[in-house]
Amino acid sequence: MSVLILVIPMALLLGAGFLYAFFWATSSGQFDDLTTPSMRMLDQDSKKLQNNKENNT
Amino acid sequence: MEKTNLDLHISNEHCHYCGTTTSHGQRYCCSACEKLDSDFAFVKDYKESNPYLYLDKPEYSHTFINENQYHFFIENLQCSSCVHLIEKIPDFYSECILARVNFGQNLLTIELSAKGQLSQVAKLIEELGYNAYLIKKADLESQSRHLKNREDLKKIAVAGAVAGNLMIFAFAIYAGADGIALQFFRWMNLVLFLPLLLYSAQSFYVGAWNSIKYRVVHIDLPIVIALVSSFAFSTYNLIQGSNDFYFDSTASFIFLILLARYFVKITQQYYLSPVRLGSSLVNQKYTLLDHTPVVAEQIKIGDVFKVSADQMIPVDGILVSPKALIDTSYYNGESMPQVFTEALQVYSGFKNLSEPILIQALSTMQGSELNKLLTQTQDHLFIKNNYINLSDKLAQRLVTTVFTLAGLFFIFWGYFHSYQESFNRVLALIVVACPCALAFGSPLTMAIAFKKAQKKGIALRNANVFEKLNHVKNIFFDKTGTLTQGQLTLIQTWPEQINEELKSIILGLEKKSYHPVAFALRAAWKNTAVSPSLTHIKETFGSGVKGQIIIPTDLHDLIDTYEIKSLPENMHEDDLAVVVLKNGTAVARLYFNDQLRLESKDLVHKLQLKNLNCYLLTGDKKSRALLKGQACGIKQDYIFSELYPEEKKAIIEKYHSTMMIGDGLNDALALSASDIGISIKGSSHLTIDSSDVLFLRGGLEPLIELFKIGSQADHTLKRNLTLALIYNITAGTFALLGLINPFWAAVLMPMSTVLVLISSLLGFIDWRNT
Repeated sequence: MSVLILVIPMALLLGAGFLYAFFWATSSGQFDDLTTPSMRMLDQDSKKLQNNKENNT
Repeated sequence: MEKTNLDLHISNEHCHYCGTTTSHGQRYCCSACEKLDSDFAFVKDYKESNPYLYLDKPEYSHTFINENQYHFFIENLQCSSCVHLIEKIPDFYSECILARVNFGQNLLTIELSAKGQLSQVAKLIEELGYNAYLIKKADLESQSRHLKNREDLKKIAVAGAVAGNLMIFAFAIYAGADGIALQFFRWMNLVLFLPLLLYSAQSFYVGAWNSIKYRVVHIDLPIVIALVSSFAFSTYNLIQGSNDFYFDSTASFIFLILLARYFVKITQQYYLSPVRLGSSLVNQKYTLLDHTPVVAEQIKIGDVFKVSADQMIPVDGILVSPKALIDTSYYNGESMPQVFTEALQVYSGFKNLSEPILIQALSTMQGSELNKLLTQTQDHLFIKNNYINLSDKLAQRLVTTVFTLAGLFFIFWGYFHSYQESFNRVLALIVVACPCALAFGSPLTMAIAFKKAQKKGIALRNANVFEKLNHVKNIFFDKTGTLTQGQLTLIQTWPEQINEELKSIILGLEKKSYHPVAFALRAAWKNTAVSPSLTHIKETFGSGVKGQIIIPTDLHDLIDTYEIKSLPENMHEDDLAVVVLKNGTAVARLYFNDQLRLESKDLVHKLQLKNLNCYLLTGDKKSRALLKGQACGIKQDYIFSELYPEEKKAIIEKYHSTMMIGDGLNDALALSASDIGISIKGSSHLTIDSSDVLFLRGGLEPLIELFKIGSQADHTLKRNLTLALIYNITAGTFALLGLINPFWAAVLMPMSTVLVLISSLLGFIDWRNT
């Protein structure tokens, strides 16, 4: 049973970690709009963004 | 070569670029796809002749800017290509830093650099082929809404995590953990429960507090009482060393209720009208006499301004031009265009069909008759939304019953037996009988109904529509544009076959006309080429057009004069008839009719079979109203004609349980006065704003769907309520008999929830494919 002392805090930490990840994702607005990003995914980057990337590298 | 191979795989009914289903076998679903497919490139500077320059004036841009961002409502977003194209705006205009589309809400967010000009962006959007409306700062709810939604999501996440983990610990205790592990699990129950109690459940406390403050029974109150008392009871047991906890079952019902509420809220935000649209007139542009461009809002009393063909008159005023052909159907439902002569008064909402006319303003846009009408309409909307729905009423009753019962039981049982045991049983009753099916089932049912309606092309702007739908007894239809198609169709000609040459000459005569007859002819003779040889075309107001064809011969030129004249009052089933004259002799007669929609008659019949009374309300002439109304099967006594908007409203107010279906501005007041106002596709924005339901698919077909979904929602609600009632009576009795302990509560409550969930989902399946 002593393994429980180790396992349960680990499980709780893991849970807390995911909860934190969810909080972060929500705060950064990832759940604000669920339809448009899927449309944006396959689009080519606009020229402006590409330029910015090239300049940065 | 590769491209042609690809072409073969894509059938005619799909967009060549994005694959969306298209209508009428068009190659592209929208202009965005066409532009993206053709390696377009246009980087223009619209400095010259940009009609939107007024937007750059600080007093204008100020009302629209919102933390450096501007928001547009884009009317015609079709597919993902539209998103791609619009989001490329920064490529075309370097001062634009960001363009982001929210497809679901038809919203475009634009961020400009310090040097950026709004006018350039507005022009660019127009150039890309979209109708965009700037949204005023005050009308934009979505920004604050997002922040609130994020907060809600976090609370749900915490509640979910707590409920899940609690279940694991509770299970361990039920399964018979002992020793240090048992002690650890017991106290973990309490620790885990705290975030839910202090963070996730906040909104319930607010609701319960308001319920006490305003002395109304609200469902949040029993939830809070159940939550707090089960927490206190469980903590007491924890300290006393007993293992009777309600932590897990309380956490899971709080989680489920939060989830259901969020789901409903999102559905409403998403499917109920996204933003309040201002008047479409606001963004219309006019020119003053000295050629300065103005928008409707800037026109002052006394200004003389030009209204181009096919444009709406923005203010009340006096006609300065000698003559004008004006479509007043938006304003009063009159289906035929009217001839106005100099010095006659015209009203905001009239549409100019003739060549550009001059108008002197008698009012500002705010002061126009139309605006007064709208203000009245909005006052009505306010009254209308104060509607208490059925499940709220039932929840109130259930809550009152449960608490009265609990109170009486506590006193009696406590008096005769022990207060300790009495309290245990009462608590079990309150926790078990928490109106879950009401707090969870009804909103869920509504949300599913909204979603289904949206899929069928019905947009709801008011959450109570379905509940009101079942009480509807009297249905009022508008005529022009609602029961009928709202445009003329060529129904008959004399002679029956008109030769191509004459057709082409007639089309040539009507080439530049905005008269409904011209549109009808162009629609009927799509494949006929327009004769280019006509000269001296002159439109004579109200009576017709005249033109000449000059045939050069050796001696002298032959001149054929053609003329189209309207015939005096008609003898057939037509609304309008014209005669075509060649050098004064009649060569053809054409009969036009504003035809009934294909489905109108059938629809009225179906509604009458359901024992619903169908009425016709129109501003049009009595003869036309009777003709069309009776063709649909509407009783003669139920046809009201030659009505002003206020009269339409007055008629509706005489009846109870009303539904009004219309499209024009003249219906706006009636729509807002009826219990359910429906505007059909193609309605003016002002009409849409005053209605509860908007059909996104053309015609009246969605009405039957609406009734069907309404009855499904009704059945599902009733079944859920029955289930809830049975569950509550059984579980409540057991609780009072002392048979329910926390373990049984943990089993029974999720079971009832799942039952309600299944019942809600099953309720909306169309078993028979009709």
